[in-house]
Amino acid sequence: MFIRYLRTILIFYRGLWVPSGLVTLFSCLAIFYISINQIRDHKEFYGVLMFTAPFFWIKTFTNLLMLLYLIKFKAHEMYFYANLGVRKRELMMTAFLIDYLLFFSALFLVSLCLKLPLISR
Amino acid sequence: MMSRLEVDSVNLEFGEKRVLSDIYMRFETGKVSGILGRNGCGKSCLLRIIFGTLQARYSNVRFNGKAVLRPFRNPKMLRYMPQDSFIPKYLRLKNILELYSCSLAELLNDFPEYAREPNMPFGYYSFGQKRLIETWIILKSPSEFVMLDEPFSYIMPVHVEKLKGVIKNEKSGKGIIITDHLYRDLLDVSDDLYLIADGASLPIRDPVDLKRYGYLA
Repeated sequence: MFIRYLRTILIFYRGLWVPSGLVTLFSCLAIFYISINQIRDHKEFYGVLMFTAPFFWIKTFTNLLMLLYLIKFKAHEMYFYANLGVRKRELMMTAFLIDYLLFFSALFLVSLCLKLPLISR
Repeated sequence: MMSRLEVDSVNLEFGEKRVLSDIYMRFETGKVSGILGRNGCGKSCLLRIIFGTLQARYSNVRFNGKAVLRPFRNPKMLRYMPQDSFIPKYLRLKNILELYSCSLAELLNDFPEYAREPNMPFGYYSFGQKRLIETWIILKSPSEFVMLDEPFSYIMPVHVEKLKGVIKNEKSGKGIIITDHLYRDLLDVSDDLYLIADGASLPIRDPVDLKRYGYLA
């Protein structure tokens, strides 16, 4: 039952992953470009997360745009998920939660690869 | 065991306009119930109210006598095919059938023309083909009641006849609720018939009633 529920949410997220993945990729690249420049120029650097806030809001803004797009142009597709027992609100909230998890996981992974701390004193 | 789905006391308004006000319908497993009505009379809205995705000012939907708030939360009880194509285009036919617990072999038995393309994404099919597949999937999915909004529209006549055969076979295990403007096809398959006129539901016992109530000229 839970597996089917999760699968339904992932099917819904599959329709969003290209635009949201691009925003995540752009945000990660920008954050690390800024971080590396900050270190190279010997400016204050308290970890990668210090530059995350504006990109988090960009991510939130683009997610809201996608939400509006779904409500306006994909309303009929919500019946596909409703017929599987999943509510529209549940579907969107869980999908965006997964998206934020992927966003922060990507940030964490890239910080590990570049050996930059997420937070430092 | 026979199950029943009832809807009554529906009050639906859009601004000043009262759409539905005096509705009582009773559907049973083992029967096909048809709903007729002019464009804009509230047929699709009524199906969405029963399904639980449209909030009316007041409505009462009961399953075996028990009130249910959001019937769609229980797919084993009720499923609904809306007027527009509702399956995401990027899903493959095989996966869709699996999600809705339907068998590809059965689909190919009813409509062998899909044998060549079970792995194609849903967006690959024409609008009529999509409509047919969607109708078939909802009809065949394991649910006590299914509601079909205009299943015969956009489908070629040969397939309409086959679909009517599928409906007649499926009604032995479930209650089927259909609304369509192709009233001859609907009369062919229906055991019970309702007409929605002036916001009220009128049980139709004889096709002559449709003339009397002004649905047919």
